[in-house]
Amino acid sequence: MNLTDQEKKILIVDDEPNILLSLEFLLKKNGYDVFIARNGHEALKIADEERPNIMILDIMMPDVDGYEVCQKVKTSELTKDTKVIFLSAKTKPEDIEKGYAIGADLYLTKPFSTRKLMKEVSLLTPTS
Amino acid sequence: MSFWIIVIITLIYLAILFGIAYFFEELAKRGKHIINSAFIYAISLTVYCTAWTYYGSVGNAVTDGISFLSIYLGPTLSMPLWWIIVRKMIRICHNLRVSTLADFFAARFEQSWLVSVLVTIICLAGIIPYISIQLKSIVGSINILSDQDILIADNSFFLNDTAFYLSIILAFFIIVFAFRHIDSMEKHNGLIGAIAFESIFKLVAFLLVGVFATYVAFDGFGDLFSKAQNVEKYAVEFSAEWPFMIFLSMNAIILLPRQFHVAVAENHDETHLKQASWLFPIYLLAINLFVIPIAIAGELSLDGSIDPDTYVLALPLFFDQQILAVVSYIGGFSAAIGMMLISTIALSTMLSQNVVIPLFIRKSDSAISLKQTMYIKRVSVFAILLLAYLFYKIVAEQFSIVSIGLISFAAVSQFSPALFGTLYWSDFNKNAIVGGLVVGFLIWGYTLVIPTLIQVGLISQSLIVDGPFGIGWLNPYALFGSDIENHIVHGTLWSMLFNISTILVMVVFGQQSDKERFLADYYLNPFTYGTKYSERLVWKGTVVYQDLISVSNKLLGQQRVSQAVNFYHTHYEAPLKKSGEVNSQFINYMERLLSGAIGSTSARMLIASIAKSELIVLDDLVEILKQKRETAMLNEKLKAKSKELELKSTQLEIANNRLKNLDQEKDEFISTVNHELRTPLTTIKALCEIIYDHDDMEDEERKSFLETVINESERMTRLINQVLDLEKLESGKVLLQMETISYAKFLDQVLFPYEKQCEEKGIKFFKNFTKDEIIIYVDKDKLTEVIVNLVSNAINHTDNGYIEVSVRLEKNQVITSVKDTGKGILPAYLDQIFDKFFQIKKNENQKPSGSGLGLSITKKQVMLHGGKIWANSQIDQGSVFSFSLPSTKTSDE
Repeated sequence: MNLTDQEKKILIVDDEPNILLSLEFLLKKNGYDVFIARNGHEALKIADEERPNIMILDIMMPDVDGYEVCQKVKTSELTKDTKVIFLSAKTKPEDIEKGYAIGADLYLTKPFSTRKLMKEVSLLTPTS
Repeated sequence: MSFWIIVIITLIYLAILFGIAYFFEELAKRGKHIINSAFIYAISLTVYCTAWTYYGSVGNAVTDGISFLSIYLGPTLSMPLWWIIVRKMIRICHNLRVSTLADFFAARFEQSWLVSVLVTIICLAGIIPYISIQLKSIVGSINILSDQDILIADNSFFLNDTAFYLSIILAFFIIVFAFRHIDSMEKHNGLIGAIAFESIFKLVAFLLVGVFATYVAFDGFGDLFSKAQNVEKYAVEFSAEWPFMIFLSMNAIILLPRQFHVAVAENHDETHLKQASWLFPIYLLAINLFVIPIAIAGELSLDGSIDPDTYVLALPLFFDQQILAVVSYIGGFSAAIGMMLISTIALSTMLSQNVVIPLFIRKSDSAISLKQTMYIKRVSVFAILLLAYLFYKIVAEQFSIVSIGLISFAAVSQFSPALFGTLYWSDFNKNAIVGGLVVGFLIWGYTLVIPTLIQVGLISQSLIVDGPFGIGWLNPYALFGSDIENHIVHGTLWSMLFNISTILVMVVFGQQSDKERFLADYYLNPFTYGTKYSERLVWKGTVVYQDLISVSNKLLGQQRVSQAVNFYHTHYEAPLKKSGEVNSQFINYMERLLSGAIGSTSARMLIASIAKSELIVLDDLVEILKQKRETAMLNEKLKAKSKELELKSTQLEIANNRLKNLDQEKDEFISTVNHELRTPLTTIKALCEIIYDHDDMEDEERKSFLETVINESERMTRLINQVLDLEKLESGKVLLQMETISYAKFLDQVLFPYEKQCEEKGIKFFKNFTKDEIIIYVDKDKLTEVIVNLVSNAINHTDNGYIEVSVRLEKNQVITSVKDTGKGILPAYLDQIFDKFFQIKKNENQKPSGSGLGLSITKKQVMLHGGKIWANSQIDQGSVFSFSLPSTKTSDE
């Protein structure tokens, strides 16, 4: 993987520590620069600061939920190029449609396959 | 003054009356209805003021003082009611083409012949003596004026009797002016014109005598009153008789046949009642103005032997005012003759239309001709005047005007309960009116007429001394031992009492036919029906066209009938078949036409006599009425049903909303459970895949991951158990295993492990309850779960300080509290902490440890025991969770 530092930035957002634990382990193993946010506010703040290439986003979080975070990220000049992958326990078709409608690049449901997630992440990572 | 001069003057005056009547009649023919004015209507009502008023008031004032006024007070007081009562009568009579009192009552009871005959008999019995007494007053006044006694002193042969000739002249006058038209519904313009002239003349004459007595013979009111010897008798002093006199005169003003005739039958326009209601009382006031001055002047000037009833005439004569005396005589003559005219017309119409013609129709097989009707009417006029003359000849000599007048009033007052029943009581039936009238009339006759015959000498004096056959309580002057001095009051009281009682009994026990019920509805609300509708007061029956036409031709003449048929053709929608059965509308039309000629009772009889089959009167209207009632009832039912439905619908809506809420709650619950289960599962799956895929992992790391997998599996198991517990609790499937336990001992056991846990965590644990004091009846397992949940929550949230479990008794409740010194809960959350899946995070980075179901389960468990749970808290000082349980008893008891 010949990715520059700039292209390897990935932000994971979830309020469940054990999920963060597994995601962080996986992504780091694959050479990504991993940033962690435990709620929507934190996620938006880090996204603005770090402008990650990819964002793995939970939906059901207190205060600012994942949909809102995605919308803000996709409409902001700074972060509009960030790819958004929803990783959510919400499995109803209307929830998934809503996710794509507000600009998500991918919607995966929990529990997820680590292999599939990593494949999709690598596909979304811009190649130089 | 010479007798013959008086006769000539009288004849001239009569000629003038004829002339006036003729003039008005001609005027009406040319379409100028001068008579059609409120003024003439009001003046014609004063036919109420007869010789009784003209001569009798002064006489009455001399003997009884102010009491003469009472019979004018009744009419005056009743005037405001006329707009309500008389207007209704006018409307009914006009729409039903009714022109007599007898027809007015009979028409409500299906043209009952019985009712109409009864009414006619009472009127004849009550009024003929009243006419006689007018005759007497005329003769009396001629006597005084001519200063002779030749006229009535001897029992002269009738051909030499002025009264006889007077009666004949009146009869001709009536026949010419009242019965010239075949249609009695047509207004008698000439007659009413003459009556109006007479009414004005009698007032002017009386006022002239009054002014003469007060200002010429004496020096004004002051002079008269100062000279009067016993003026105090004119002071206003009401006696117990007044209400009776007012009552009698109130009835008389509308129920006397002559009053009914001028007020109802001759009314052109209902609105005339409005002007009459003030013009008529003003007239009454004016004609009574000089009664007392004339009485005083007479007493002061005239010999005590002179009858006070003749003062009005005697006074001008005493002062030698010949012309004034003649004017006064003509005034009195006018008063008497006006009454005689109208009364005779009203009575003879009733006698012919309600008694004789119906009899004739029954006897003569439907054939009655115009000639025959006119003949019957004329004979009736002569018969009545002849009867009046005979009564005058035989008995009238003995009585004063006032006493006969009041007996008449009492007679027609028998109609007043019937009038109210007819106009205002829907249950009033035929038996009630017949019963009331018969009983009232009999008692009237027994208490008021029979005793007068004693005075004349026709019946032995013993009747009013000892009673009939010596039975004291049947004494006609003291019925049932009553002690009433005034015979009029006595007779009125008993006759009315019996009259009304009979009516009440008959209404309670009597029955009404459907037709009667419909007519009752019509009489009660004539204004709501309108003319069109009253035309529908029809009968349905089979009458053949030719029969109907031939009967009508005979009675009305071919020309009038063909005119009427043509009019029907052009003005009515229903087609007219000129052969075979005719439709009910045409029968009704012809009946109304015939009513004009022979009265409604007779017309009904005439048509009934030619009907092929039994006539079904008013059937379709009865049907309409029934339908109307049924519709009204249905409407009521519908309204009730719709209200009920509305209620049901709101109840349904509430239930539906509750269900919707429940549904939504359930959806939310499932979605939350879904999320809560997927979360640990996600971790488990992810970590397992990582371990599987990464052989190169460090042992330490792998172990830590596996530990997380184990923890998350436990978390899932716990969650599943709790969800199932909650579902059980909520659906009521939980059966409590209740037993009686000592609460303190139980608590010690449950709390033991947690005391140790606190010790390890370095926080204190206090127990604040007395041993063996409280006995409770609970499910031990469930209560253990409640306490364990509350205590472990407290320990989890407390890092230093203490935990305290205390128990206290409060109003049959055992209250257990678990206090901690942890972070506390925001007041806003205190209500929500018992909700499902409600969790407060310790800090932003940490997922709460529980499932979020613990407290809701606890709450349910407490509630199952019949208790309550609540929390108090202060931020940074700790929380107190308390729950209550019903106490059974303490071990002391």
